Amino acid sequence: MRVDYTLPSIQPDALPDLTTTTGETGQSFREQLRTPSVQLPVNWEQEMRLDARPFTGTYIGPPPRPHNMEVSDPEIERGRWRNMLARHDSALDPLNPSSSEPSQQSVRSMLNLLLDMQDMEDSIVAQNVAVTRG
Amino acid sequence: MPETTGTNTGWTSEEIYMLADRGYGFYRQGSYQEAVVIFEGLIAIDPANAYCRSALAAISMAMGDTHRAVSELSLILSRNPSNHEARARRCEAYCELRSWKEARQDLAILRRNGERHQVQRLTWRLEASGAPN
Repeated sequence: MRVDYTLPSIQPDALPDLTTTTGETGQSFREQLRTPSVQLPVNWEQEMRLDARPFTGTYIGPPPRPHNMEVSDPEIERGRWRNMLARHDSALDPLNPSSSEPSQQSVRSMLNLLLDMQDMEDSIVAQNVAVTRG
Repeated sequence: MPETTGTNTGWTSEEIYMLADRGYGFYRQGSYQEAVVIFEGLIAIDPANAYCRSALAAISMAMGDTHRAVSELSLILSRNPSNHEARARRCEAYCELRSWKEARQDLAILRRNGERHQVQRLTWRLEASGAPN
Protein backbone atom coordinates (compact mmCIF):
# COMPACT_ATOMS: atom_id res chain seq x y z
CA MET A 1 0.00 0.00 0.00
CA ARG A 2 1.35 3.42 -0.90
CA VAL A 3 0.80 6.36 1.47
CA ASP A 4 0.86 9.86 0.02
CA TYR A 5 2.20 12.24 2.65
CA THR A 6 1.92 15.34 0.54
CA LEU A 7 -0.89 17.63 1.53
CA PRO A 8 -2.74 18.95 -1.48
CA SER A 9 -2.77 22.56 -0.30
CA ILE A 10 1.00 22.89 -0.15
CA GLN A 11 1.91 21.04 -3.28
CA PRO A 12 4.33 23.07 -5.40
CA ASP A 13 1.99 23.39 -8.32
CA ALA A 14 -0.79 24.54 -6.00
CA LEU A 15 1.18 27.52 -4.68
CA PRO A 16 -0.06 30.90 -5.86
CA ASP A 17 2.04 32.41 -8.62
CA LEU A 18 3.52 35.65 -7.21
CA THR A 19 4.46 36.99 -10.61
CA THR A 20 0.89 36.82 -11.81
CA THR A 21 -0.57 38.36 -8.64
CA THR A 22 1.78 41.39 -8.83
CA GLY A 23 1.07 41.69 -12.52
CA GLU A 24 -1.46 44.41 -11.86
CA THR A 25 1.22 47.00 -11.17
CA GLY A 26 3.89 45.38 -13.31
CA GLN A 27 6.38 45.59 -10.40
CA SER A 28 7.84 42.90 -8.22
CA PHE A 29 7.85 43.22 -4.46
CA ARG A 30 11.50 44.30 -4.52
CA GLU A 31 10.80 46.99 -7.10
CA GLN A 32 7.93 48.27 -5.04
CA LEU A 33 10.23 48.60 -2.05
CA ARG A 34 12.68 50.69 -4.04
CA THR A 35 10.04 53.05 -5.35
CA PRO A 36 9.07 55.68 -2.75
CA SER A 37 5.31 55.54 -2.41
CA VAL A 38 5.08 58.87 -0.57
CA GLN A 39 6.44 62.03 -2.14
CA LEU A 40 9.07 63.80 -0.04
CA PRO A 41 7.73 66.97 1.57
CA VAL A 42 8.84 70.23 -0.04
CA ASN A 43 9.27 73.25 2.17
CA TRP A 44 7.43 76.44 1.40
CA GLU A 45 10.55 78.22 0.12
CA GLN A 46 11.14 75.51 -2.48
CA GLU A 47 7.43 75.43 -3.29
CA MET A 48 7.47 79.16 -4.03
CA ARG A 49 10.90 78.93 -5.73
CA LEU A 50 12.38 81.33 -3.22
CA ASP A 51 15.47 79.13 -2.87
CA ALA A 52 16.52 79.93 -6.46
CA ARG A 53 18.23 83.31 -6.49
CA PRO A 54 17.15 85.44 -9.41
CA PHE A 55 19.78 86.92 -11.70
CA THR A 56 20.20 90.64 -11.19
CA GLY A 57 23.05 93.02 -11.86
CA THR A 58 24.39 92.68 -8.33
CA TYR A 59 24.30 88.87 -8.20
CA ILE A 60 27.33 86.67 -8.91
CA GLY A 61 27.61 82.91 -8.82
CA PRO A 62 30.58 80.91 -7.55
CA PRO A 63 33.74 80.89 -9.68
CA PRO A 64 34.13 78.04 -12.18
CA ARG A 65 36.41 75.34 -10.79
CA PRO A 66 39.32 74.33 -13.07
CA HIS A 67 38.77 70.84 -14.50
CA ASN A 68 42.24 69.64 -13.53
CA MET A 69 41.87 70.69 -9.90
CA GLU A 70 41.47 67.73 -7.58
CA VAL A 71 39.35 67.92 -4.45
CA SER A 72 41.46 67.31 -1.35
CA ASP A 73 40.69 67.32 2.35
CA PRO A 74 40.53 70.62 4.28
CA GLU A 75 43.90 70.14 5.93
CA ILE A 76 45.69 69.83 2.59
CA GLU A 77 43.69 72.78 1.28
CA ARG A 78 44.78 74.89 4.26
CA GLY A 79 48.41 73.93 3.67
CA ARG A 80 48.13 74.76 -0.01
CA TRP A 81 46.57 78.13 0.79
CA ARG A 82 49.28 78.96 3.33
CA ASN A 83 52.08 77.98 0.92
CA MET A 84 50.54 80.05 -1.85
CA LEU A 85 50.40 83.19 0.28
CA ALA A 86 53.96 82.71 1.54
CA ARG A 87 55.36 82.02 -1.93
CA HIS A 88 53.75 85.01 -3.62
CA ASP A 89 54.39 87.33 -0.71
CA SER A 90 58.12 86.69 -0.95
CA ALA A 91 58.11 86.68 -4.77
CA LEU A 92 56.30 90.00 -5.23
CA ASP A 93 58.83 92.74 -5.85
CA PRO A 94 61.01 92.09 -2.78
CA LEU A 95 63.34 95.00 -3.57
CA ASN A 96 60.56 97.58 -3.70
CA PRO A 97 57.60 96.71 -1.48
CA SER A 98 55.81 99.99 -2.24
CA SER A 99 55.97 99.68 -6.02
CA SER A 100 54.20 102.48 -7.84
CA GLU A 101 52.85 100.25 -10.62
CA PRO A 102 49.03 100.07 -10.11
CA SER A 103 48.75 96.35 -10.92
CA GLN A 104 51.54 95.54 -8.45
CA GLN A 105 49.83 97.67 -5.83
CA SER A 106 46.54 95.82 -6.30
CA VAL A 107 48.23 92.44 -5.90
CA ARG A 108 50.15 93.72 -2.87
CA SER A 109 46.89 94.99 -1.26
CA MET A 110 45.22 91.64 -1.91
CA LEU A 111 48.12 89.73 -0.38
CA ASN A 112 48.29 92.06 2.63
CA LEU A 113 44.57 91.56 3.29
CA LEU A 114 44.86 87.78 3.02
CA LEU A 115 47.99 87.66 5.18
CA ASP A 116 46.28 89.77 7.86
CA MET A 117 43.33 87.39 7.80
CA GLN A 118 45.71 84.45 8.05
CA ASP A 119 47.31 85.99 11.14
CA MET A 120 43.88 86.50 12.71
CA GLU A 121 42.89 82.90 11.98
CA ASP A 122 46.16 81.66 13.48
CA SER A 123 45.66 83.71 16.66
CA ILE A 124 42.10 82.37 17.06
CA VAL A 125 43.34 78.80 16.66
CA ALA A 126 46.15 79.43 19.15
CA GLN A 127 43.65 80.90 21.63
CA ASN A 128 41.34 77.89 21.25
CA VAL A 129 44.22 75.48 21.81
CA ALA A 130 45.26 77.41 24.93
CA VAL A 131 41.69 77.35 26.29
CA THR A 132 41.18 73.61 25.66
CA ARG A 133 44.53 72.76 27.28
CA GLY A 134 43.67 74.88 30.31
CA MET B 1 51.57 70.56 -13.51
CA PRO B 2 48.98 73.30 -13.11
CA GLU B 3 48.86 75.77 -15.97
CA THR B 4 49.80 79.38 -15.41
CA THR B 5 47.86 82.42 -16.57
CA GLY B 6 48.74 84.13 -19.82
CA THR B 7 49.80 87.44 -18.35
CA ASN B 8 51.42 86.60 -15.04
CA THR B 9 53.37 83.37 -15.13
CA GLY B 10 53.78 83.26 -11.35
CA TRP B 11 50.14 82.34 -10.70
CA THR B 12 48.46 79.08 -11.64
CA SER B 13 44.81 78.71 -12.66
CA GLU B 14 44.24 76.73 -9.44
CA GLU B 15 45.57 79.60 -7.35
CA ILE B 16 43.40 82.09 -9.21
CA TYR B 17 40.39 79.86 -8.53
CA MET B 18 41.25 79.66 -4.82
CA LEU B 19 41.52 83.44 -4.59
CA ALA B 20 38.32 84.00 -6.59
CA ASP B 21 36.53 81.58 -4.29
CA ARG B 22 37.74 83.57 -1.27
CA GLY B 23 36.53 86.79 -2.94
CA TYR B 24 33.18 85.13 -3.63
CA GLY B 25 33.01 84.16 0.05
CA PHE B 26 33.50 87.80 1.07
CA TYR B 27 30.77 88.82 -1.36
CA ARG B 28 28.35 86.27 0.10
CA GLN B 29 29.09 87.55 3.60
CA GLY B 30 28.41 91.11 2.49
CA SER B 31 32.05 92.14 2.99
CA TYR B 32 32.10 94.02 -0.28
CA GLN B 33 35.19 96.12 0.43
CA GLU B 34 37.30 93.01 1.04
CA ALA B 35 35.80 91.31 -2.04
CA VAL B 36 36.76 94.34 -4.16
CA VAL B 37 40.37 94.14 -2.91
CA ILE B 38 40.55 90.45 -3.90
CA PHE B 39 38.99 90.89 -7.34
CA GLU B 40 41.10 93.98 -8.12
CA GLY B 41 44.19 91.93 -7.32
CA LEU B 42 42.96 89.09 -9.50
CA ILE B 43 42.29 91.40 -12.43
CA ALA B 44 45.85 92.73 -12.11
CA ILE B 45 47.10 89.13 -12.28
CA ASP B 46 44.75 87.99 -15.06
CA PRO B 47 43.16 90.95 -16.92
CA ALA B 48 41.28 88.69 -19.35
CA ASN B 49 39.46 86.80 -16.58
CA ALA B 50 35.80 87.54 -17.36
CA TYR B 51 34.49 86.01 -14.12
CA CYS B 52 36.65 88.24 -11.90
CA ARG B 53 35.85 91.37 -13.89
CA SER B 54 32.15 90.56 -13.91
CA ALA B 55 32.25 89.93 -10.15
CA LEU B 56 33.99 93.26 -9.63
CA ALA B 57 31.30 94.97 -11.71
CA ALA B 58 28.51 93.32 -9.71
CA ILE B 59 30.06 94.30 -6.39
CA SER B 60 30.66 97.85 -7.64
CA MET B 61 26.97 98.05 -8.49
CA ALA B 62 26.03 96.72 -5.07
CA MET B 63 28.22 99.43 -3.52
CA GLY B 64 26.62 102.12 -5.66
CA ASP B 65 29.58 102.67 -7.99
CA THR B 66 27.61 102.11 -11.18
CA HIS B 67 30.05 104.04 -13.41
CA ARG B 68 32.81 101.63 -12.51
CA ALA B 69 30.49 98.67 -13.17
CA VAL B 70 29.77 100.00 -16.66
CA SER B 71 33.47 100.48 -17.41
CA GLU B 72 34.37 96.94 -16.25
CA LEU B 73 31.50 95.40 -18.21
CA SER B 74 32.40 97.40 -21.31
CA LEU B 75 35.91 95.96 -21.10
CA ILE B 76 34.50 92.43 -20.99
CA LEU B 77 32.25 93.15 -23.97
CA SER B 78 35.08 94.71 -25.98
CA ARG B 79 36.92 91.38 -25.67
CA ASN B 80 33.86 89.18 -26.09
CA PRO B 81 30.70 90.84 -27.48
CA SER B 82 28.76 87.57 -27.17
CA ASN B 83 28.97 87.57 -23.36
CA HIS B 84 25.22 88.03 -22.86
CA GLU B 85 25.40 87.91 -19.09
CA ALA B 86 27.77 90.89 -19.08
CA ARG B 87 25.52 92.72 -21.54
CA ALA B 88 22.43 92.13 -19.40
CA ARG B 89 24.33 93.35 -16.38
CA ARG B 90 25.47 96.47 -18.25
CA CYS B 91 21.91 97.13 -19.43
CA GLU B 92 20.82 97.10 -15.81
CA ALA B 93 23.67 99.42 -14.87
CA TYR B 94 22.60 101.83 -17.63
CA CYS B 95 19.08 101.74 -16.18
CA GLU B 96 20.55 102.77 -12.82
CA LEU B 97 22.33 105.65 -14.52
CA ARG B 98 19.17 106.51 -16.46
CA SER B 99 21.13 106.20 -19.70
CA TRP B 100 18.08 105.01 -21.60
CA LYS B 101 19.58 105.07 -25.09
CA GLU B 102 22.50 102.81 -24.14
CA ALA B 103 20.23 100.53 -22.11
CA ARG B 104 17.89 100.10 -25.08
CA GLN B 105 20.84 99.34 -27.38
CA ASP B 106 21.99 96.52 -25.09
CA LEU B 107 18.43 95.28 -24.78
CA ALA B 108 18.05 95.21 -28.57
CA ILE B 109 21.23 93.12 -28.92
CA LEU B 110 19.99 90.69 -26.28
CA ARG B 111 16.64 90.44 -28.07
CA ARG B 112 18.34 89.75 -31.41
CA ASN B 113 20.30 86.94 -29.78
CA GLY B 114 17.21 85.28 -28.35
CA GLU B 115 17.96 85.97 -24.68
CA ARG B 116 14.24 85.81 -23.89
CA HIS B 117 14.49 85.52 -20.14
CA GLN B 118 16.88 88.49 -19.84
CA VAL B 119 14.87 90.57 -22.33
CA GLN B 120 11.63 90.06 -20.43
CA ARG B 121 13.24 90.95 -17.13
CA LEU B 122 15.08 94.00 -18.47
CA THR B 123 12.03 95.30 -20.32
CA TRP B 124 10.20 95.33 -16.99
CA ARG B 125 13.25 96.90 -15.39
CA LEU B 126 13.24 99.72 -17.96
CA GLU B 127 9.55 100.33 -17.44
CA ALA B 128 9.90 100.29 -13.68
CA SER B 129 12.72 102.84 -13.90
CA GLY B 130 10.41 105.17 -15.77
CA ALA B 131 12.24 105.06 -19.09
CA PRO B 132 10.49 107.12 -21.78
CA ASN B 133 9.02 105.10 -24.66
